[in-house]
Formats: sequence, C-alpha cells, structure tokens
Amino acid sequence: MKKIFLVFILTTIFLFSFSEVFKEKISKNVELLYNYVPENDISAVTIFIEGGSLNYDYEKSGIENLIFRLVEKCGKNYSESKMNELMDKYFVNVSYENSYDYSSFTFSTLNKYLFDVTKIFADNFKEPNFSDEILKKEKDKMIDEIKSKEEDPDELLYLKLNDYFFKNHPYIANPEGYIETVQNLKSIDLYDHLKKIFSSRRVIISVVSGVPFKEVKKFFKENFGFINGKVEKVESLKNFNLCEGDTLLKYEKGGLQTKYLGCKFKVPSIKDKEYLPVRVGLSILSKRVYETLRTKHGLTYAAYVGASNKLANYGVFYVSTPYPDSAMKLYRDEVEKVKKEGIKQEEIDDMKNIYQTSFFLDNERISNRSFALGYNYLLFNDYEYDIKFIKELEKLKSKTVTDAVSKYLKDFKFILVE
Amino acid sequence: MKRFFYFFLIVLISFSIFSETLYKREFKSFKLANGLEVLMVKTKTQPIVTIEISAKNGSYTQTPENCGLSHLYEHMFFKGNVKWKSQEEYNKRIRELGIVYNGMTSNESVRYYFTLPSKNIDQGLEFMSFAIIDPLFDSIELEKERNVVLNEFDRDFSVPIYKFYQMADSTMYEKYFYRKNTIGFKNVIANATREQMQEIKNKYYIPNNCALVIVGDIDFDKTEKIVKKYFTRWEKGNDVDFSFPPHPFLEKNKKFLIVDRVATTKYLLSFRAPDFNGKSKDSYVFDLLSDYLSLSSSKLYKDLIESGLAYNYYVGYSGLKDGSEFSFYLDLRGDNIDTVRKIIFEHIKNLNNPDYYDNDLLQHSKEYGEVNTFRRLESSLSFALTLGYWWCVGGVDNFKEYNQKISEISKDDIVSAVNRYISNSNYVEGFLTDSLTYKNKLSFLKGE
Repeated sequence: MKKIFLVFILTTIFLFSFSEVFKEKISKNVELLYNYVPENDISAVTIFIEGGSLNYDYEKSGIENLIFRLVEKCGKNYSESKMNELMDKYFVNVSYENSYDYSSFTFSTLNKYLFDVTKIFADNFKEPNFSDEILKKEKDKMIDEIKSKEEDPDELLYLKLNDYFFKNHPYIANPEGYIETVQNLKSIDLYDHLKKIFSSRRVIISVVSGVPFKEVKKFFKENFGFINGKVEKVESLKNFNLCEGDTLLKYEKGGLQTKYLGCKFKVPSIKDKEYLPVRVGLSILSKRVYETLRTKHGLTYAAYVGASNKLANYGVFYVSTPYPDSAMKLYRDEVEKVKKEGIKQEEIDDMKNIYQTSFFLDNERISNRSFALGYNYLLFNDYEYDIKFIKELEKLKSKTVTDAVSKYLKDFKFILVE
Repeated sequence: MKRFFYFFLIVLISFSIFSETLYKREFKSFKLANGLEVLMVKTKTQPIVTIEISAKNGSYTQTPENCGLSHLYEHMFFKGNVKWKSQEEYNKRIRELGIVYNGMTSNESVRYYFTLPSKNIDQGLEFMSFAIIDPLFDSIELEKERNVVLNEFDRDFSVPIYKFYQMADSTMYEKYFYRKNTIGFKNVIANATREQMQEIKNKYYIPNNCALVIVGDIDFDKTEKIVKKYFTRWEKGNDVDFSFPPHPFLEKNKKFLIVDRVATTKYLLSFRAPDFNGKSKDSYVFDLLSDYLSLSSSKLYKDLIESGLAYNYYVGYSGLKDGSEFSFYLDLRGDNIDTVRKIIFEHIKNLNNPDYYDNDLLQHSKEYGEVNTFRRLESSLSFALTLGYWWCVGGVDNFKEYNQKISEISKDDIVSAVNRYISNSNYVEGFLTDSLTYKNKLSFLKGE
C-alpha cells in the first residue's frame, strides 16, 4: 500500500512539474532547455553562466553583478532611455542573481513579446555599453548599496560571517562586490570578463513559455549563437581552511535594540551524496532549536538552522535575542541531543511533507520554474534533479540522517553583533 | 459520436452557466448561516491548496490601551487549541499535514494561511477550524509569546528605515496613531493579558467578521461539504461597529528629520488621499496615478533616475478605509537633495495640468496595472492572500471590477482628484540621513 502511495506521489510530482521539457544545443557552450506551458500568458527566460566567484579574483569581486546591472540598463544599440521605454512597453520584469557558483539573469514578459524582449537582451549581451559615464553612475549606486547593507544587523552579521568563514577560499570574492573592488573596476575589465566567460564557460538558457518550441528553438539559435566557445573546466573548489574547535568573535555595531548571533560550520557540497541527509538533519535540528528557543523559552522572534546550497558548503545557525549566551547554550544542548539520541524516523517523514509542499509552491511561478530548470541542469546535469531529490527523501532512514548530520555538527564559528 | 458531442456541449453549457471566473480562474462563493463568507478559487497548476482565514481586524481597531495586540493575537493563533492543546502538538500536526504557514497583521486585515497538499484538504480545514474557533490562550504560552513579539519589536527598531516609516505614520496620523501602529507600544505588549486576547476574539474573530479563502487544486462541491462540516459550529457574534472618528487632515505642512548611520538619504513626501470606499472613482485615480508616475518611461523617472539624481523611487497610494495617503519615497545621495526636492515639487505642481499626461503612456499604465495584477495572482498562495486582503479592505466585488474601473479613468478624473487632494494641500516631508550638512538640516527644518 505504501508503495502504491509513493508511486502516486511521484507520478503527481512529475505530471505537475516539468512535463514536456526539450533540450537543444545552440553552440559549443550554450544549451537551451525549454518547457512548454500553453495555459500561461507569461514567458520566463533565465540565462545561467557557470563559475560564479571562481570566474574572478578577489580584486574583481562584483564584476559579474556590475555586468548584469549594465546589461539590464542599456546596450550599444539601446540607450538607457530607450531601454526604459521598451521595458515598459513589453511589461518586462528582470531579476538576477550573482551567486558563488553561477550567475543568472532572468526576465519575464507576455508570450506575445517573448521574441522582442529576448532580442533586446541578447543584443545587450552581444554588444554591451560599458562606457565610462554609464559605468561610473552604476558603480556609485552599487557602492552605496554595499554600504547600506551594513545598516541592517542581519545583513551585517551575514557579511561578517562570510568574511571570516571564506578567508583563504575563492568564495572570499563576494559576487556582490566590496567597496574597494567595485571602485577599481574599469570598462575594459567588464568587456574582457564578458568575453572570457562567454568563450569558456557553460551557458544554460532555460525558457518556460506558451510559445511553441519550434519557433523558440530557431529564434534562440539565431540570437544567442554569438556565444560560442570551448568549455573550459572550472577548477574544483577546495574546502574551507579553518581551525578546529569553536570560536566566537564579537562585533560592536551600536544603536541596536537586540543582539544577533550566528555561526557557520562546514557541511558537504550540494553535489555530495551526504548533502541530502545533512540538509534534512539540519532542517530537523532547526525545528528543534526553534521550538526550544522560541516556543519553550520565548528567547527570540527568529531562530534558524540550515544548510546552504553551495559547491563548497556550510551550515548556519542564526538567532536574534537579548540573551545570546543562553541561546548559544541551548543550541549546543540541542546539537548534543542529536548526536546522542539521534533523529527519529517520524521527524524525517514529517519533514518530507514540508519539503514536498514547498517544492510545489515554488513551482507555481513561471519565473521560478525557468530558474529551477536551468539551475538543476547547470549544477547536476539533470533538469529533473529536484524531482529526484524529493524521491530520494522517501528513502531516507533515521540512522543515515543521524550519522551524516552528527559528523558535521562541530567547529562552530560564531559571530555576535551587538 | 454524436451523442458524445451533445453530452460534451451540455457539460460546456452548464459549466458556463454555473461557474464564475475571477481573473481567469474558476471562482465560487457562498455564505454559511453563521455569516462566514467562503471564497473558493480553482488553480490547477500544482497539487496544493491554500486555506486562509482573513479577519477584519488589525491596527485600525486598536485603542491606546491595546495598541499592538492585534499583532500579538495573530501570534497566539499559532499556539494550542482545544484539540491540539500544546504548541508542540500543534506544530506536530502542521508537519504531519505538510503545512507551510504564516500569519500577517496589517492596518486593516489579519490573515492566517496554511498551504498544504490538496489531498489533505479535509484535515487542513479541520485544523484551521480548531485554530481559529478554539484557541486556548494559555497564560504561560502568552507570557512566552509576549517576549517573542518584544524581540520582533526590538529587531524592527534596530533598522533605521523602520524608524523612518514609523515616524512618517506618526507625523501624518498624530492624533490616532495607535490605529496605524501595527507593532504597537512596548509597554502594552509587555503587559498583555489573556482577558485582552479573549476580548479581541469575542469582538473580531467571529464568523460574521471573517472570510475563509480556499485557493488551489480543489473540487468546489467536495470543498463546500468539508467547510460546512467544520465551520458551521462557529458561533455568530455581534456585528462589528467600524465607525471610528476619522483621522484629521493636516492643518499645516509637517517635517521630520532622523539622523542615523545610513549610507544613502531616504526622502519621503506624503499627502493625505481619499479613503477607500469602493464607490468613489478617486481611489482608482490615485492607484492609476501611482502606476503612471512609476513607469520607467515617465517624465518623473527620466528627471530623477535617468538623470542620476536619485537611485530609486516609489510612488504609492495606500488605499485604506481608515486613513490613506499618496506618497513619494526616494533613495538618493544627500548632496542631491535640494535639486531632487525642486524636481518633485515641480512635478507635483503640474499634476493638475491635463497636458502633463501623455495619452499613450496613460493607456499603457492601465494595461501595466492589469498585467501586474495577473502576475501577482500567478501562485495560489498570492491569489489567496490578495483575495483575503480585498475582502477585508475593498470588498470582493471591487476586486472583480478593479481593472475595469481603472480602465474608465480619464485625464479629467485625475486632474479633478489632484486638485482636491494634492494641489495646495498640506503634506508630511521627512528625511533619514547622516550626510546632510548642518546648514541643509537647519534650512530643511525651518521650511526653507
């Protein structure tokens, strides 16, 4: 009976997710993934570029973010003013993410404007405008945004944790950039970098649309065929180079009405087999920590534990509280409890339910679907990876999760912002 | 084959007779005898359903003595009830059913939602019914939750921009600020009692002051039966009197300045605008005007953003029943402030001139609003939250007709509304900055 139920769940997931996905090679390093959704009026396109912070040194931190900002803004053939007019005309939404492992540029529009809008962005990528005047304006904005992040204690804690945890690691090249690195970026750096990544990195373009594939295929080949290079292997990421044992650093910000405590610790890469049990184990620990710190003790509004999703990966504990010492002790007690008493099968089964609902929720938006399609393919060479991830969850056993998560719950690098 | 064709035709005809659509989705509503309105929408993209209770509560129902308790009440919803007594049991049930959940308190609505697999809809509705009808308000749980909300309060006030927005509201709505203050007063939260929670429950958490919104992969008939099974027992209460003394309009221009460690200067200019009542065109005018001025091909955008004087700006109309405003928010470098203020006031001076508005752009902003509405409604969760919000603030009929009403607005309507609410009207102006010179700050406060 349980098996029949499992088959039913998985069939439902499959039917409701990426039905009708097509794959097409556009050039040596560009692949197109396409999902046909005729019932929706909106089309979404995501362009993924492999590499992230491995594509540049610390000194060039922020370069891909700056390139995307300028591609959104203008190109050689489209002035800023013209772009603004066209973005309104075609009802375009643009978002981008510059991650440690990749960069992605997403836009959405109505189906009937898919080709008009795609042509504009393909053109801006092909013939960008990184002129000094426009570059200076965007750099000023970007620098002020970097400074603004320090106003928010959550953001500040995140930045301080990264600075500490990523030192001596390629991830120290923050994709959002640092004030001094953005200040030093020049027009020629941007042209050279874009040329370099388009000629050496995997580029995945994922499209979710109601426009028939035959037309999309032809159009995207014509417009993105200019990206054509030999894929060079991105260097493998080493693990974080940190001392053993727990550490605590304090950072005084001032003017805060509560305190912010966070820590990072090593966990397996998102590509590692152990990632799944560790991620589930940390979600269960998160539930326990939340119930202890918030529900039982009323110490905090926000408490969280979880695994990130990077190629070189880390776990996080976070809490805002006027009582950081008590919160840290209770967190450690919960960690010890996981190690000694383990994770129950019942907790794993419950967590699967939440993961499934979240998966379906994410899939409701066309732009999320186009992102997931390309992301899965870029990182796992499998656009159905997240469906398989849910399938794998069904097989997880208590011992596997307890053993995996216990191995990584150590060497906590705490930072307290007060 | 012919028989099949006729059968198919009958199915089609009956479908078109009995089902209503709401933004291209099948929609059905009904009311239980106890007054609970049930709004159901079918979305078939994923096998999930969102179950939401939307209550006409929020900061506008507050007094100085219970300012902040609408929000604390929302927190207490997620504690134990007569069936799932402790929060541990409550949380356990959430996980068993695969529920993703949250609650949100705003000025004129409090909404609670559970999103879960649609196969669990029966259990989900049962769970919602106990959570909303039978909360325990255990005193020990309340004591702990007060601390949780106080930590939320402290977090909010640790962020400079939050202080800025609070200051803007308290300046605009000085007399009855407690009706705009969702997070509330610290001492009120710290001393909240079980009796106060019970009082809010008896007054506002009654079926005739709430809507049950269900959006997702559902069958209307089956869902209706389940709703009746669990929500019929909810006892009707006294109809709520929402007649509050109106927020006075500003008698003079007001200014405020916050100096804090911020990288960029935030600027706000805010006018009192019509309260939403659904009948008057004015509210739709200010929504359209906000969209028009926000377009990146508008003249305002060119003057502020393309010129490089400001980083971002936002124009918005709050559209509430109990005090609304039409505001400009800008993010800029402090040294551009004098020029930017001049530009903003120049645009405001021209808003009552029909020639200010480009016909094509005006038409486009109507379409833009329509497309954005559809985008917002793309997920079943956001559809449920939007519908629940409209039920509380604007009414479902106005939500249905929203785009139609926007499309009927003319230039003359805009000019007329601007003349009545903006031109020569008083305003609130505020800065959050650390970069203005002493001379700038002084001249701003003196009103120069």
